[in-house]
Amino acid sequence: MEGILVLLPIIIPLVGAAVVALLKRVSEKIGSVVTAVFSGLTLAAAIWLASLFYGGADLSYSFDVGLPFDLAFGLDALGIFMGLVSTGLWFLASVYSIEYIHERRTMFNSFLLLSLYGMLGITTAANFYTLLFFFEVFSVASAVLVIHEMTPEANRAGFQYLIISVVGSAAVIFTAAAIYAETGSIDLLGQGIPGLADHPLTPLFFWLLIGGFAIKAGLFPVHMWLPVAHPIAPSSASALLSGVMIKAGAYGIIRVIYGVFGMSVVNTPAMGTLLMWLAVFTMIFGSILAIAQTELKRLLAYSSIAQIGYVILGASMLSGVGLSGGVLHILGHALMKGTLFLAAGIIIHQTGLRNLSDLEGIAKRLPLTMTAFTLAAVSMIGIPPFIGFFSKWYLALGALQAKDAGIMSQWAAYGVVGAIIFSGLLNIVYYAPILIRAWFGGPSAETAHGHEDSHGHGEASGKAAEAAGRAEPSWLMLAPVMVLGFGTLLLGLYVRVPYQLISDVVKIYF
Amino acid sequence: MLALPKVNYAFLAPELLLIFLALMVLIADLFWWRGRTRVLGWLSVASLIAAGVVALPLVGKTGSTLANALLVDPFAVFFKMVFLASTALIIVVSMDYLARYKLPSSGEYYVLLLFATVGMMFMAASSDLIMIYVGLELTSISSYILAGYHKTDARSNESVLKYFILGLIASGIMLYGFTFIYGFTGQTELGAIANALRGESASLAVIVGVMFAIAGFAFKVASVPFHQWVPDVYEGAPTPITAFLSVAPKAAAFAALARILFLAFPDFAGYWKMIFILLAIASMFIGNLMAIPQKNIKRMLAYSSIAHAGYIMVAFAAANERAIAGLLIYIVAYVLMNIGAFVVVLAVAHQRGGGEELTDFNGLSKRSPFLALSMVVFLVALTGLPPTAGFWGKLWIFLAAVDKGLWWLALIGFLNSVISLYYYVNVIRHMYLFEPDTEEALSTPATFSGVIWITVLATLLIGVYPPILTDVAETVARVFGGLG
Repeated sequence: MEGILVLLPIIIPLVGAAVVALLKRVSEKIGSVVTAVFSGLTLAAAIWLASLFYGGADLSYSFDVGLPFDLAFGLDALGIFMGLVSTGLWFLASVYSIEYIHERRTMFNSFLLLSLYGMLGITTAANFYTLLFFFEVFSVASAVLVIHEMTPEANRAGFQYLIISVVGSAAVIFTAAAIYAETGSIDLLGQGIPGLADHPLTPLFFWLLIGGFAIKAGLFPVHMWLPVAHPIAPSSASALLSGVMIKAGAYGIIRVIYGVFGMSVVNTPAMGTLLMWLAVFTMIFGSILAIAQTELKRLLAYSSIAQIGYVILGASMLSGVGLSGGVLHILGHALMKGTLFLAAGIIIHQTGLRNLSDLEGIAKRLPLTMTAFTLAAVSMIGIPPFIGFFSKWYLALGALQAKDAGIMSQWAAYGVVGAIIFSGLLNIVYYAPILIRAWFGGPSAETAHGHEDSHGHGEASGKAAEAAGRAEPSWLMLAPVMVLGFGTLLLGLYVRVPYQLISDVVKIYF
Repeated sequence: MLALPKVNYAFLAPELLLIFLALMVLIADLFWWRGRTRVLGWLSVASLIAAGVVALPLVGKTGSTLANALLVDPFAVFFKMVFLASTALIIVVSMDYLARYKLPSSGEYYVLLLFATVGMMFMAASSDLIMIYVGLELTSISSYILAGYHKTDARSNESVLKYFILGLIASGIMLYGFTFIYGFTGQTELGAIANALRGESASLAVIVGVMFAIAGFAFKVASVPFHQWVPDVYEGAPTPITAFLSVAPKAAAFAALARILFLAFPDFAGYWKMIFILLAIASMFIGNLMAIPQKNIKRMLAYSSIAHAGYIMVAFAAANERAIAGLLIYIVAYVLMNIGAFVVVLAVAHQRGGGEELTDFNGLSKRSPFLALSMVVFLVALTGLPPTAGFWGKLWIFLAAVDKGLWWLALIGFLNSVISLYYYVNVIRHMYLFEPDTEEALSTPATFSGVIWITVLATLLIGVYPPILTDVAETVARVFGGLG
């Protein structure tokens, strides 16, 4: 009977979206609060389900929809983990949005909840049919978040995002159908579908599925939409897009590698190894492009490309420790990028500044925000005891473990370790100057006056410029950023808490 | 659990590859080469060539996949090649056209053409009513959008709205016919329909179903009395799209029609032959007679294309192996000469101050002897005179009609060729005997002259040495062996 509870975190946001839409007539402001309440309820449901799961409950449920396969839901340790991370960040982002979003609130809020509905549907899907259903919901709903500001650039970015999402879904739909035709199974939560091991088309199926999910994740070479779409969305949506939504793609890739094909099938140069090197390349490539950026949010978006490389690297090196590093990075990056984007949002909201060069001395005006920002940036660089350090540490250990298990050659393992270290150095190159400028740069005349620019919060920026003193926002916006920022430190210090959950994830497959 | 058909991916490879590459063109347009007409155009041509290369191993193979819904046989492969080649030619000439008229979103334009091609490939290869319908709709919906590509031109908008609504009605009628067929036989697979009907006396329901299906296809091939949309749409659409619509989707509809009638309803031939005799006569006469007074060359060619649909329908009235070979020869010849003629129209209109009226062709021989001479070849071929490919197409079809005792139908066809000579020669008269308004030499973009060269040479080569086409066509026609 507990099985049906698996639907709870899916139903709550769906109901919430409807309630928020109906509240438009009453008050949009109340709608924003209600959105946060529903996100909070979803988080509570996710926590409850996690406690039930660890109490030994079987959380799976399926509807007979008259097709040869069911609309099936199921949660395992990975699904629980993804659910906790996404609902957690979603709750904080929706609290933040109460103050942050001024225009078209109802549209934003209801699609925020619909995206959550799609996201949680993806992570609780037990087969491809269910997954694809929610994948489409998720793609469309999150595209609306991207075009929120409705400027020509935003429309174009949303359009690009939508089209490439549809192309990715098409690849997944086609392959799922083909796999079903060949094997009679579309199960996602197994240990590899029997019958794919020696099928001649397995590499093609693998790459089509990976391609479909890689588009969502923003993996090179199908990352093009990401640096356009993420910065243009309102910052709370950017935080979710970069913090958890791209992880839906990474989640898909983990399931494809371990659940659909199985490790032993993927362990070939043409599949696992190639994917791993793509991830390594993405890691370096994203960081190098981030260095070239002049706008804070764009820099953060490119950094997300680099960071998704870590997650997929962890998934594709086919070692238990490596996978734990990748999954830990899902949490770590959600905290770090959540902090950074929300902090960037505060900077824009309070001062109207977007460019890196304008951030001279910003910490004097936004000390608390910039404290959280600094914690997250330092964690991003990978300094112990921040959480960002541990995921990289486990990734490096994973490479060495894979070498010992004979999955990776010696030089490949050292190459991966070297790439992880190099990527950490690149992170210093673009995060350190921001921190130095923010804390030690003098507030120039430019910072105080210019830039009541085209962006929608010009009024706020004008006021801030007049004050030219402390510009911290209300606690409604500040608290989520502080929670996330200090989270990167606390969960690093007590890394064994998340690591316990993650070791259960790893136990599914190893 | 549902019993799943084994899928032979090798048989589906050309279509799947083309779909994949079309999506890549879309993404390339969206992210890397926004509006780079030429880059995207050549990318699309390369996609078509790649699909053709993948289709090569299927030559000579026979089989089916997707639970018999998709056939691979010489007939399917023949048409796939024809579609790929004609779309490639169209895309090559589209690049300069899109640049000249500054039409937006060239990427979408190419992608729609590629998807239309996929739809046509499915139409020619399907042996299942549902698959045929899906292929047809993919082609039609792409065509509707392409025909209205001059988005700000009111005339074009009007014509495409007409096309869209009439097209929907035609599709609806066709589907209605399919439901009769399915309702009576319980089958959608063509062979199974034939089996279910074997030995049955002709029931009214089936006859109505077949008639409705034919009516739907008659719209798609622009046959009288379902031709009213043709002149407006052909005039309003971008000229490369007019050329495309006048050849490729028509050929696909004829291919699907041949599949349906010869595979599913061979026993009902007595009924549907009558329909085709009527359609053919009406199309030939009305097409040719209405072409005579036209002053706009695109409208003239539109009416001429109605007449050509009539000639091709004579093949269905005869309905034997030679008629099918004739159908194939005619379609290839028609693709070559019609695309060629439209490209000449394109080239004349491309010039500053150029247009699509008959008077714009005045003295073309002085301004561009190459264009004028090529146009003569195409017009001679369209009339059906030797030594061009058009002659052999007509010869084969009319001979097949004579074989079946339809000598009078062949005679009507011949008479109509004579009528058509009048308005075709009229164009030649304008090009050679009239004085041009300006002596300025016409410069033709390389893409146009390249396509004209290809089509002229192919038209003449087949005309001089027909076995290169007729032998292939006769081999392919054996797919429908056992016809009367």
